[in-house]
Amino acid sequence: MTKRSGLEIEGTGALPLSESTFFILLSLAPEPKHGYAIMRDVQEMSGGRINLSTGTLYGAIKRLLEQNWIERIEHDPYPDGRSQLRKAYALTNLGRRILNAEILRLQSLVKTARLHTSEERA
Amino acid sequence: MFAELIKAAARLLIQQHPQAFRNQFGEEMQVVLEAKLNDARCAGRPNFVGTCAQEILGLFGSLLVEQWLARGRGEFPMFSNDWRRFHILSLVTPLGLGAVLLIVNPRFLAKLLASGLGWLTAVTFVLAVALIALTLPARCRTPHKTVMAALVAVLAAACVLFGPALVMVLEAYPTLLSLEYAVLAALILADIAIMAVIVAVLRRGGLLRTS
Repeated sequence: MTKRSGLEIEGTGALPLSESTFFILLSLAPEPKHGYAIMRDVQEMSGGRINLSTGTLYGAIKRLLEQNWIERIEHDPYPDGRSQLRKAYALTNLGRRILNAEILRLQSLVKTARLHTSEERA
Repeated sequence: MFAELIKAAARLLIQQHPQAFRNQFGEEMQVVLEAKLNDARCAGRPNFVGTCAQEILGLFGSLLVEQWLARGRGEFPMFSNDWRRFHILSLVTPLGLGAVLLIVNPRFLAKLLASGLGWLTAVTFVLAVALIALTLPARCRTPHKTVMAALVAVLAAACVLFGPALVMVLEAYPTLLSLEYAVLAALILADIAIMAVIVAVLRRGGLLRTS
């Protein structure tokens, strides 16, 4: 299995993203988050449609780390020791570029679909 | 109680992931899982039960995927570090349960053994052989081991017949059931003998070796 690299963004390898991957990257776009926050974010953003289990989430995180789309950082949301989660995940530049490319691809799809459906109506 | 059981099952499943995965994410997964279960518990019983089922299935799925991927990298993923503990546990648990049943209700145990243990042994070993064979790196899967695995499958098939055959014997000679302890001892010995043969064959075939 070959690793996906940044060179494939413009090619066919990296895109389209699976829905879970897309939402995980989207969740990390504004700021770094720990695992449980990503899980809740994905559920909220997908309107409750995607409910990642712990196993699925960490399987996906592992692959995203291997592909260098995200990175693991030290991050304590509660420095007083309330939080047990000291590790968080952040988008890398490559991950951000891939997310942007996917958003552009989806926008283009929606634009095409709108164009065709409005032509049919007319 | 139920929550503790689920957490224990989840911990067990996390521990069966490949070592590298476990070292990287194991602790974090447990913290996330506990937080998720606590939140689900606050959201009501149906939500909690659904979340438990989803988590266990999810962990089982990721266990299979990660073991499969580790195998592709040529690692010995299963039993890589605490396999001895795993084997001891797998032997001690049924024996412990058997001991408790023996004290509480020996007649029930005799019937249970006659109707189920042979079959359960067969299923367990077929699954174990399949899993071990699947997780062996390609360079270790020699024809010799395939023959051994086939032999084990034949033995396991014999185990499948073991239970029904015993039931038939007990039905034909019900007086045997009055000799509860003798029947029980015979059944346990027979089952242990079958397991010993299978383990010996596995060892001879190198299927239980990890390095």
